[in-house]
Amino acid sequence: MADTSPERQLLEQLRSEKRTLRVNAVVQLAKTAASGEALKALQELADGSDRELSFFAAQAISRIRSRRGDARAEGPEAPPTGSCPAITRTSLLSPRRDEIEPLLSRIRSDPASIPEELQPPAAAFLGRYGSEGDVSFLAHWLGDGQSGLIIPVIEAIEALAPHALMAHFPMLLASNHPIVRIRAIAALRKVDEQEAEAHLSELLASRKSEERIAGLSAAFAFPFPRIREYVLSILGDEQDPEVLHGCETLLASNPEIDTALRILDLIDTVPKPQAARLSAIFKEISVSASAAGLIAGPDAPHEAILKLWRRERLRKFLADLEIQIAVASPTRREAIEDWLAKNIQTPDVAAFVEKLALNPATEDVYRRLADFLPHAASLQPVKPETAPSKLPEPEKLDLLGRLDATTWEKHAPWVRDEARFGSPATRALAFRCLMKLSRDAEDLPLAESALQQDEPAVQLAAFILLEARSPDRLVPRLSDLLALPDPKIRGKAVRFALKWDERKAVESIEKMLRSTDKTLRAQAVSCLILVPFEKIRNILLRALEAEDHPAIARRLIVVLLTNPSKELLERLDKIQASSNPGVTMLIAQARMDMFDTLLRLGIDMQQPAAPAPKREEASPEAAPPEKPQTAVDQPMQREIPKPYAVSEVRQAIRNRQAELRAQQKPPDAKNAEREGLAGLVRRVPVPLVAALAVILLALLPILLPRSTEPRVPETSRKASSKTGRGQDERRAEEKVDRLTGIPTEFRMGRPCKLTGRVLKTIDKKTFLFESETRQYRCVAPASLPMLLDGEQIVVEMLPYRTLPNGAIAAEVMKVTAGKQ
Amino acid sequence: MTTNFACRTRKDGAWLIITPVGYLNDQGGTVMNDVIGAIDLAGITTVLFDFGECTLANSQGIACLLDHCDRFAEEFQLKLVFCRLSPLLREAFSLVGLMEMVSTFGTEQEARSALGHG
Repeated sequence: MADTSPERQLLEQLRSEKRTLRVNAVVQLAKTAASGEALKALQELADGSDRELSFFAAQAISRIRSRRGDARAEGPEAPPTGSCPAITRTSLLSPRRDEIEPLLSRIRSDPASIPEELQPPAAAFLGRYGSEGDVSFLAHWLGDGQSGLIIPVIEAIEALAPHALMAHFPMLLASNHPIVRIRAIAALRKVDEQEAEAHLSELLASRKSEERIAGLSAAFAFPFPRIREYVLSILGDEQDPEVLHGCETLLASNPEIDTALRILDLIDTVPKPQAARLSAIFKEISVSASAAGLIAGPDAPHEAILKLWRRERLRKFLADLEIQIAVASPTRREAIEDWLAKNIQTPDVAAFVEKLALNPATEDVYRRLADFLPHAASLQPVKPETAPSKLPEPEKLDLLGRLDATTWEKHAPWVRDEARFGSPATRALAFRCLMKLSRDAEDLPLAESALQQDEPAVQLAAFILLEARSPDRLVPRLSDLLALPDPKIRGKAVRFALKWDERKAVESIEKMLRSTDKTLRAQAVSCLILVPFEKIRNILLRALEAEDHPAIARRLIVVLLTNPSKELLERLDKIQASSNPGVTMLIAQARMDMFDTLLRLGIDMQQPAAPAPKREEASPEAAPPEKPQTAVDQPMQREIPKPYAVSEVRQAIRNRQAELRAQQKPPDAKNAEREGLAGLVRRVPVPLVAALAVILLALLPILLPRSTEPRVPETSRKASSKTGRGQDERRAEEKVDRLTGIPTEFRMGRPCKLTGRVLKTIDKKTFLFESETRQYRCVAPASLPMLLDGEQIVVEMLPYRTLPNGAIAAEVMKVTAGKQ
Repeated sequence: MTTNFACRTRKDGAWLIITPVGYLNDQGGTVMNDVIGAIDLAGITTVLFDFGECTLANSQGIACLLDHCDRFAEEFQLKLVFCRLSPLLREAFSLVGLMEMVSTFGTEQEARSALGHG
């Protein structure tokens, strides 16, 4: 049986491709390990060429040996000089009592003379035995680019004079080393927990898996109820095995029945491969909850929680599902429908499916599931029997479709009867006939009455009739129409309202947006997207700040992302946490997406990280706000931000990314950009520049001379993939398959689509595969079609580990024949 | 005001293919109105919008597109098809109910295979 002890897992982590994970494993081993095997593994790292890891490993060895009571192992280091002990890594990390004072004196007398490789242990030594006076030269070492030095220096300063770190927080929190950032977050938490949590959420929302892993390791120090929300919001899309493992560890370390129940909710609304990943986490948490005594009984822990979930959570889950169906992506919607079909025999689910019929936004789901309903036959809608004509329905529809001016007078009374009493389809068509052929005032009250009913097709036809013939009659009903669930009528109502009285239309929508009814709020956002953006920018930002439902927040974000500008990004930066950490994560991701879009448009995103406060120009809103302004309305009237505030640190990180991107561009492109787009940015409004730049980028493939092999320029390709992205795509920085959105180059821990040849078929589910210079051991969840050795294939896979023989273990998602 | 937005159109049998190029904003919407308004729809049964070269549409651009789709569907009873949608466009179009009015496909070829060449 495999050894799954924590130490074994940490030893395996030492072989991870992700540096953050290796460092984390070293740190954890230092705290818990005691075995010879751990010492041996750490010694290999300590003797290795990676200076930072070498220091951490040496420090860990020192701690483990001290715990075990081992004698200090002298390394092949410099001999003592005179009466003073030599400054060596061993002496600094494990000094004998009589060595401490001489070592302190030597370091203090000439800190600059300490060799670079001994600075990290010297910092660790000072942290244990130094005094506040040592902080001044320790602080100089913070400027070092290596995390291996910065970490012990942070720890030393924190131990000697914590207040001295304040001035360095902005730099440390903006570091490009995730481990430095998490160490700085841990230090900041003791000073300002709220800001520290904001920095943590940025890390967890990052598209770099190493940063997410780092965030998870720092998350242990924060209150679990908050952290749990962040982690649950990651789990829906996360595919990196190591990040998933980090989430599992965090959740299982804080076992709660509610966490397990919420993962079950999640499992049933994500695509199957993700559900399988989450099921494993669910089982782990169940075991943990059982060990903590939270569940008891004869059933296996996960079975017991499943029963509980079925019993207690189903109703709550279903209530939220209705809104999820309305806003879900097609894949997610399909997963939800699958689940509903599977569980439709349960009375609560059957009742829920029947309820879907009443909501036009979910009616189609009902139609697809109606046949599965228990007693489906008895639930068929009853057709009205009051139609005056004896014609069967198809013939009525046919006749209505053929009516023209010549036959109108003959059939007018019947058409009005159909408009009043017919089936929904005939009523809708009858109203269209009335609109086209009739001029009788009698039609208008008929249409008004139809507007108040709940059949969308009829409402839509009635709306069109009134809009064409008596728009005044629509005005008193606009508020109700804007709140209708059917998007087609709502869209028409918004456009009509904007033409009629834009200010009142915006006011009505804003009122909906403030509703406590989440369905109404979701519909309000759908209305807002059709309103000129400058009229609703503040409303959107205010709503986003207050919103606590992730699905509605995502809708608000979509509207913002479709109207990108530098000014908007600045405003988005100032939005601080909503009550829901899941929404906070969405906002953090939206900032990254918008920043990327603007950067790829060539807009200069570099600016001082902490600008002096200035008064913002009045925004061109349609109407002055009528209620007391929130922080969103008055961004510049806030207090001067703390230097380590997340918005300031974010700007420092952006400056670095912008600089990096500028360096990566060829000189010609840089000049062109400087003289072209950048000049425009200075002279014309930012949104216009953004628009022009998108157009230029889109036209690049046409404007550039074509080579024999059509090749999309890097900037253009990235611009097109980055302007609108889903969660998964956001995390793929590399080449992406145009249709599937899966990267076409190797990435450990991420789905990728690689072309290569079969080296050897091992069994029905396993084969060796070679792509470019790498070999993969591919395992599929089910039997594969017959593969021939040497055959060219395309494999969609999730590489997750480097095996001892150098091959990469990968989970196969799909195999297709390659081009010969 | 001039704009670099372009809207290419071509007819192929009963299919009208409209390819917006660039950022579909308010000015882009005006260009689209001019181009589409000038098209003779006689004989057309299917209108395909190819968004492969238009990855971003703002509020006014979406409103303009919605107007055209409404007109195509209601006045002319044409079948509407979208292809090569970026994820953000897909989300934005879903918000306004556009996705319920159209069929979506990865590429024009896929649409033609599924719906017939017309």
